[in-house]
Amino acid sequence: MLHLMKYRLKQTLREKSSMFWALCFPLILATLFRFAFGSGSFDEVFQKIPVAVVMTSEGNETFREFLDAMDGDMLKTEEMSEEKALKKLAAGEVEGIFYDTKRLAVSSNSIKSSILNSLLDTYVKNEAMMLDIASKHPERMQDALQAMGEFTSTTEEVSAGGRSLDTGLSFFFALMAMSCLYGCFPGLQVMQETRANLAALGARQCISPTHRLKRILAVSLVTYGIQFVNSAVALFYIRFVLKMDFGGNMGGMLLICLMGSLIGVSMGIVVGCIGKMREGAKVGIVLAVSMISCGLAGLYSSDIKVMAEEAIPWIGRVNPASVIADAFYCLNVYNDKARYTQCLVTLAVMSGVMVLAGFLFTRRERYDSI
Amino acid sequence: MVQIENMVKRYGKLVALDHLNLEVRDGEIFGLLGPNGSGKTTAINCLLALLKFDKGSIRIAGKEMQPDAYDLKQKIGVVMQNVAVFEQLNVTENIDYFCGLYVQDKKRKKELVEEAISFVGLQNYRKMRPKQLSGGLLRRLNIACGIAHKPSLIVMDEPTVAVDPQSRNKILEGIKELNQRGATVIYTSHYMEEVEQICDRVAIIDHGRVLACGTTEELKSMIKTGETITIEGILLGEENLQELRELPHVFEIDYRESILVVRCSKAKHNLVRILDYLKGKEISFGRVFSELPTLNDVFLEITGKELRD
Repeated sequence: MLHLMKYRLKQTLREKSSMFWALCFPLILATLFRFAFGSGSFDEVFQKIPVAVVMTSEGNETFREFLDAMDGDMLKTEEMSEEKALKKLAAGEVEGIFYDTKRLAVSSNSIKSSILNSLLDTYVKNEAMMLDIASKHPERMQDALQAMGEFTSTTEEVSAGGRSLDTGLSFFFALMAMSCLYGCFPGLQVMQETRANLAALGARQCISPTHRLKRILAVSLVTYGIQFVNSAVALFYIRFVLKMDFGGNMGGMLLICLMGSLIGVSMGIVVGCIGKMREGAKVGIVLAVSMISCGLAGLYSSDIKVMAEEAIPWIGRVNPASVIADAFYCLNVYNDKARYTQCLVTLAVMSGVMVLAGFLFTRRERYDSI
Repeated sequence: MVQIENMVKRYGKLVALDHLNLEVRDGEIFGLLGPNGSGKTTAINCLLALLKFDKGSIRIAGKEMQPDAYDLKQKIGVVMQNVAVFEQLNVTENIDYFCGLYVQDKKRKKELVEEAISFVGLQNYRKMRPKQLSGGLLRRLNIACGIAHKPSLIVMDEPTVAVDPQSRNKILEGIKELNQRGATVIYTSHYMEEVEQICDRVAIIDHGRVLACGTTEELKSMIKTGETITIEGILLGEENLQELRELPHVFEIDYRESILVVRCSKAKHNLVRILDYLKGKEISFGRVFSELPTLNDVFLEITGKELRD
């Protein structure tokens, strides 16, 4: 196993074109982005989200106060009738409608609506916690309120999830997604060189007494590792050389890189396992998939991401690049741990499905023609 | 060592192997001779469990060959028709990689790699990458990668294709040496001279069937041709050709572009009789030569076409 891994590592590191696309290209692109945006755009702060507030007779007073507290900071609230609010929502003049019954209506699945959702979710959870404390430990209520006050103060100062959204960041999140997904190229190469019907090298290895799955596992692990390092280098470069203030904790972002690399390489593996197409055709497929995927995640324009999510809401849930970018958003912008975890789980599940598909394609494979 | 029985392989309507039967004995160099597309490589791929086949069975060293027959695979070395080495690894690393698929012990592996490098004469090219090697050296590296682990059965699928004569001789000598060290070799080629030169027994294959099998002498004795006489720079009329056809032991005459080719059955003085006839008729001629039958003649008589058609 170590023998296989050692040589795969040597081969991959010496494969200049593959290393250029997986390691150098994202760095070049990141540098170009940095120059293109200039320093000014990075100082742009997240604009206040316009929301309508609809009061009802059964409304919750505390929630009203919470919305008032948010007004002027991260929200721009306006009290109005439900009918008028719905019209404004349909016209896109407001991003959502908060009912004082702790309900939220949004028209699309955009980032802003996610922030509003997250805000409501945070409030509901805190309220439940306070009620729980009041019923079980009334003597600690004072401490809890104090802690809550501190929390409110924090959220008031730093906005929704704890961070301000730099509009340029969205490109860098998509770029990180691209860096991860470029693992599809070494992943594809692994399978090309492993299958007997695709290359003489594959045939020579299939004839050996080393179990095929052992070979695939060894080279895949090395490829995952190298791709993770490539993505991590891109992350460090953007964070510390280009001085982009991602803000989120580095460990969390590295975890995204790890899962992103996993899905990138897995994508290459599964494409490599399908059919007998020539390598050039398969490279074309993975290139198209990765670029479209990154485009929909906002690599070319953040508007594309928004438009895609409005037109096909589920696309953001299955598009690997969108999920990777979304995980970065969760960590850096709206500090939504639950959604961050969900993104990582989604990436893990998708990778698992792809690897399983690849396994089923190649298991006990004896080729119909070579 | 190897028994292939009634093997049938179809690609759609095309029958690539048509009830192929072969037996390769321990310690011999067995040649599979046939034109391009005759089914040699398909037979080899089936033998190595790389390819599914529709019918029949393959046994190696008494055991059935399967994709997961790792104990059998351990004994087999393969030299593919296409060079199969890693471009990113140098000569030593390539041989070490492939040897490592068979041999786990590091010390033993190192010895085997050194032996393989010496065997193919690549001592001065250890650190070179495949792109830096000439075609002949590349073929030698390809062979080293296939035989480094000292297999008892070596399958060589046209290892001398596109190789210069010097390298080809070196490769053929190497194959003989491997055989002398105890390896059984299956050697496929469409070069009859190579097969005649190194193989103990030969199977002539076409359209996926074995047409004849035996030693080269046995194969040659199967055919009618005992001698082929060629006379260049000769002018003959139809009457002369007819008279030549009627000479004893002559069974076929081919005359075109002032070259006469006469095929005779096995007999003494065939050449003398023909030359006497020409002398008697005062017919002048240029170069004359007589050839004993080759495997190409065997193939020609059996199939009615040239081996290299």
